[in-house]
Amino acid sequence: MALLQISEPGESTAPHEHRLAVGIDLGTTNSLVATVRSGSAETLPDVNGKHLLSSVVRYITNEPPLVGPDAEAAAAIDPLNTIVSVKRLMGRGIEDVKLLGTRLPYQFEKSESDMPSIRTVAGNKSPVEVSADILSVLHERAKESLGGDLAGAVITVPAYFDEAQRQATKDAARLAGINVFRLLNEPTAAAIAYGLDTGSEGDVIIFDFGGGTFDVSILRLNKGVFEVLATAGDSALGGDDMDAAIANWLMARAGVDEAAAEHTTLRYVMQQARQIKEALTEQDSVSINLNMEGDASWSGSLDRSILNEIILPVVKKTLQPCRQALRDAGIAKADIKQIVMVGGSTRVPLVREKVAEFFKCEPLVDIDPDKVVAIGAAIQADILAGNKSDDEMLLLDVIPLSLGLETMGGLVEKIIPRNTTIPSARAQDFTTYKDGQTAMVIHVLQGERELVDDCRSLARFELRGIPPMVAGSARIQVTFQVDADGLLSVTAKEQTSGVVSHIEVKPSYGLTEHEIETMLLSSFDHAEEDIKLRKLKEQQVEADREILALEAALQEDADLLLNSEELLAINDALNDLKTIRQQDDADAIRSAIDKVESVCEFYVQRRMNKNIEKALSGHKVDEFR
Amino acid sequence: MEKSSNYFTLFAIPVSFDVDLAGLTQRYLKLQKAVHPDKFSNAPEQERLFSVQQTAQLNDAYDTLKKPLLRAQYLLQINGVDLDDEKNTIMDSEFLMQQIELREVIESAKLNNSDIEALEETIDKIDDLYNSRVLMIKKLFAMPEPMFEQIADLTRKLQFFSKLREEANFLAAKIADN
Repeated sequence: MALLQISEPGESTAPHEHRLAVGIDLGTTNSLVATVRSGSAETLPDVNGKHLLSSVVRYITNEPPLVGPDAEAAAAIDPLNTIVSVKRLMGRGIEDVKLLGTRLPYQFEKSESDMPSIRTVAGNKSPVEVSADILSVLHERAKESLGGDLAGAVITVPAYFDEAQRQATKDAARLAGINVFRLLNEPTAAAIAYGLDTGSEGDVIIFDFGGGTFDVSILRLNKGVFEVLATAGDSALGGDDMDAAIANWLMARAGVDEAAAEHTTLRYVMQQARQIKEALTEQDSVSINLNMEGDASWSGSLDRSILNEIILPVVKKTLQPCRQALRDAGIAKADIKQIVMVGGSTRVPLVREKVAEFFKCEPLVDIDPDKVVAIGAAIQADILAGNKSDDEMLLLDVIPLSLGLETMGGLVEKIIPRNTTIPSARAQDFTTYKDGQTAMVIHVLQGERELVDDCRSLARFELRGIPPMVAGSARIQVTFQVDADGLLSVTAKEQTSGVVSHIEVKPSYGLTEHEIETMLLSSFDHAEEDIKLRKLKEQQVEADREILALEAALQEDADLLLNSEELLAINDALNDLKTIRQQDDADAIRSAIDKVESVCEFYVQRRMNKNIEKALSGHKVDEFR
Repeated sequence: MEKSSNYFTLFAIPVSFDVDLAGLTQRYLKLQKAVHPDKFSNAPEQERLFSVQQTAQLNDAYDTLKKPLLRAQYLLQINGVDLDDEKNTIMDSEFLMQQIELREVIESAKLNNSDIEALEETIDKIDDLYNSRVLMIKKLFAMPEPMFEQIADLTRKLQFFSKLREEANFLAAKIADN
């Protein structure tokens, strides 16, 4: 009989133990957390048995914020302190926020960065903090329900999210204390949930119409590989817009002047509008009784055909991105094998009808459209946690918008065009404009248009110390690197002098590092002690990761790839790290890790090359023609 | 792997303009499975970083070898031919006339938004011109002693057609949306 192994308390987990991992769908209207238990993916309910958490946060003086249904219930009475649809504000500047279609009751304040802060009774809150409060609730729910700390999470974002919005999402997770395995595009998650990765081949449309965002993606499935062929959409179009259209109709009937209406009235009418829309997915007609402040009231009814007329302009707006995605992918409607419906708004009969009519294909609606993304994310999280070691699935993603640099005359030079597979690294040479020029502003932009003013500014930084030369003779190489999450880092290097400037792009509309630190600090009661402990724990986790990985590697191929001298040096560094790991000094552990990494650099490289050779071992050069 | 190392070597395929796309894709996917960051989500930081760099290079290599224009440019580059050389950008008059004609159609389509048919015809024409040059480039590269200057000239023309095609596509998309 095999004996069960029990590790010493506080010791690192064994490499093949089941790691706790979750998928989180951080939605505009609702958020969910899901996990894989005994082989099947399911969403996790709260203590009341509810799976969906309304993405609503209400701030209260001197108390922790309310998140979910309790906050939502207060939206009509306390609109200024109750933040709904915060996802629409993620990674946006104050100017963008003003342009958003829906009317927002909040009072915005400027912050350290260009990101807007919302004034509440509990202080100014950035959209990232509001999202972090939602994530914290889901994080707690998951830890309680699974009975332990999480190894990590996969968090989904709309495929159309730009760099600033992705960065904001990752910052929110960091504030909530969540280790992010990967940001996953929502459509990809939906396809995984439907199991389209197994057995199915061909091109698939993911039509994701949520509360505040619309995305259409075309995925190509081939032997377990998901390739995003194209994505298009509108990050400010959703069910909220249908609600707003219905609300406007209601206010016109009730004789309420929209421009002069109180926030509470607007909120009340929006809630009514949403209920009417939901009721009309099942019923053909619904009766309405509106009672607003200031004696305005209206009674009447609405049937589905009138509703369809009211919301048609919103639904029609989804078709243009569909055409664009087909064009970008270079395929025809007839090539589409399946359509996956995602998001609560796809319950609206008119939406299903128009989609079926447009693609001439009946959409898939078997899985609850609200849960499908979280379920897919959970499946991916389970794989990334290493719980399914033999898994062959591979996700290849593309960037949704082109990345470029400002050149002379306010023009944008594209460095990485949109729909490039990521991770990606591209370099381009630039030169100086004036004689003796010693510095250069690198202005990073995102978008498809030619003029700087029409694109989104992501970051600006300066490369200094260029040796004075005649105009046009310096060679400045700018390298863009985009990681698997779609996040960008930029390096600029003057080739003749070797002057290097490197930045992780912090979008202009994101939080500054200082803001994040301050938020992390203020989120702890016993700040300093806790931060020290947290830092120590982080380093210990990283040390364990390093030790485990290195030992496993050495066992596998030390004899093949290392001579005895090299092996000795690696073992020395490894043993040092093991000793220092047992002491409580975060800085010492960090430097021991750095030491191991520098000693092992060549070894990691050799292993990677071995992997590459192994991957092609079935092929020979002469067989290839 | 060094950044400068040969893309053909990476895929272990012969250095040639004539690439079997299905085979290339198969190799690409196998290599992706070996180096992609998702396979290293529990690995130490350094390995994750390596994996991102490797995958970035792999993606770039695949993109380059997959597309005829980029492939031609790359082959010229590793043979030491500079495409950006200003002296060599003088085009023959026949080619210039052709360019002007094609541009005129695109410009007039821009003015009267509805002329989608003329535009579609032009797109087909550009595609034909593009494809015939790809075939010529393929033949020239297959010769025992390729004439690189001639190939470079054709490749520059390919660049023009590619840009023109992009503009025409963009315009067609705009017209279709209205």
